[in-house]
Amino acid sequence: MKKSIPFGLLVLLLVFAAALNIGLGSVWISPQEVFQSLFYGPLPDPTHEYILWSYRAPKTATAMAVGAGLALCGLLMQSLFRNPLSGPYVLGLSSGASLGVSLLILGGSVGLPGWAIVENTGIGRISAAALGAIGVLALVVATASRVRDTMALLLVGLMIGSMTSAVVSIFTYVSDEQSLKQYAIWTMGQLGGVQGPWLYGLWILVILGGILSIPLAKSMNAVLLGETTALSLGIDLKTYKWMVIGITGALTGGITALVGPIAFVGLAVPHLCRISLQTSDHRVLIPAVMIGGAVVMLMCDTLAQWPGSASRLPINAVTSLVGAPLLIWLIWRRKKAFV
Amino acid sequence: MELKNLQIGYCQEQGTQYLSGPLTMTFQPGQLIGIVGVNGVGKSTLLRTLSGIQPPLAGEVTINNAPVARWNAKKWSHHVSLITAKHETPPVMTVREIASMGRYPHLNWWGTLTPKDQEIVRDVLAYLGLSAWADQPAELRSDGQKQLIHLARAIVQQTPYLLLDEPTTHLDLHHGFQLWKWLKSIAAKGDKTIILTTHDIEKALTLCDQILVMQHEKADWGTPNTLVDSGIFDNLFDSNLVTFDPNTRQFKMR
Repeated sequence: MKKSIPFGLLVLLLVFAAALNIGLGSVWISPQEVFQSLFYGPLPDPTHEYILWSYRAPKTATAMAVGAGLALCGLLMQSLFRNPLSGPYVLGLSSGASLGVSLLILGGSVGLPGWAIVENTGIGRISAAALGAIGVLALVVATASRVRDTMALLLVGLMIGSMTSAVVSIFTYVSDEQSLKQYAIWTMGQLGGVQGPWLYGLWILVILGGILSIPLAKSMNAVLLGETTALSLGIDLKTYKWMVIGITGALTGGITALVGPIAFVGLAVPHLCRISLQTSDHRVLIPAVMIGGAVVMLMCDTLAQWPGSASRLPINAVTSLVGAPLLIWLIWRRKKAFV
Repeated sequence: MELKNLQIGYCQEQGTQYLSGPLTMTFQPGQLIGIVGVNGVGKSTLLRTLSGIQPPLAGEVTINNAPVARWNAKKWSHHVSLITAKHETPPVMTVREIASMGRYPHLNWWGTLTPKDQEIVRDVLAYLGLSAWADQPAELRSDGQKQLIHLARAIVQQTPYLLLDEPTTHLDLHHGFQLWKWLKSIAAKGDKTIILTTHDIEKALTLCDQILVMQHEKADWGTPNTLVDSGIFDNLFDSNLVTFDPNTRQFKMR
């Protein structure tokens, strides 16, 4: 199999990126230390032990799951809409999550009745984001069952997006400074705050999404030839469509609720993989984008916490600043993009 | 394949749009069947209906005496292959990869090609003269060859019925003739029925075994000879503009 060499390289890259991500920061924690702590008990230096397990490891694990999940969603959406500009957020799910969170953070400050009951905490924010995303997903599913045209779904997703951002901008206009800053920080993405059961849940969600996507590879390949041709090749388009919407809805909703709307990774990683692996075969692309997404997310997070600098950069700024030029460069080299 | 009082068309908000018909006819194996008619008369819709993409408004289609009304896509894909008018050639996919997709109905969920599947694809590519480019990106081929690649895809599907929507429309004279020749020879092997829509009535009259002439109010079905004798082509188009010469079987501008 000629694809096995870049695949091995991708896995190697993942291990390297993970080691770098876990090691770099205010103090350097070497791979040996991680290894020792994993298999031979606590490290001699309790500070290192504490930093490793309470801060670094969860963040690295979160970055991997978020990157893999969002890249998978991007691939699924680009396949469903047959549009290279599609990403995990085209269904409007992140807008829904943003609306939920803005209601929580900003709504309180403009004195919306009832909002004082909900505490503005991490869990409160996660629930608000999840509720917003689920609300939009319900709307998308209702639309999908009413209209048969996939492009109409894309348009509805975009409309939901602009509607919610309008509401959010009204909130930001009237709310106070402190809430505004809180909300702005949420929109920049937070990989550090996912711990314990939330982290396990995130991983289970992403792995489940990956497993459920693998049987879709054949349909995704056939759809490259057009929906009608795919149908004539015996592909069950309805099941394919609902599976894609379901997986993307759950993954994007869950991820956005936990870490905020992470830009760029979902849109670009599928393209990076298609161009660098030179394939449209989704049997290769599904695992490739998941590993690739994890690598890109880890690298961006490593840059965001660049050693020696006291403050962290917002992860969303880094994903776009690093990823966009990378994609542009690849497109320049290959002279084209493709779905 | 048998059509009984088949009525094709669309259900829309503004009401049901009936297209040409009702149609009653039987398609025999080994025949090349042409569907002709003006734009919008329902040629493509008929092909969509005969490949199970779109349900009929009334009437019935049976294949081997079995009614097809409740068939799913999988079942259809074992009987009918379809080449749409606007088919797509995805980038980086090789000629062989696209042709191999025709095996999908016969493959497992993962799409593994068995040695036998690979042999079928290889043979068809060789038959259509595509072997030399088999492992090159299909998007780099000419329009005529892309049409052949999709023909290969449809042949490896190994269905008794092969449906093509305007396969020669965008081809130059050479590639158009080449495609007609292939279709004729595939049909002549005797195990397939090939049904195609075309605007090239003159070629259809020389090459097709049976022709369906679709008009808005009615549809006529028969061999080229009976249709020419019936004089149907004389009034198919605006007679102030176009006339049909039954001796040369050609249309002439008035």
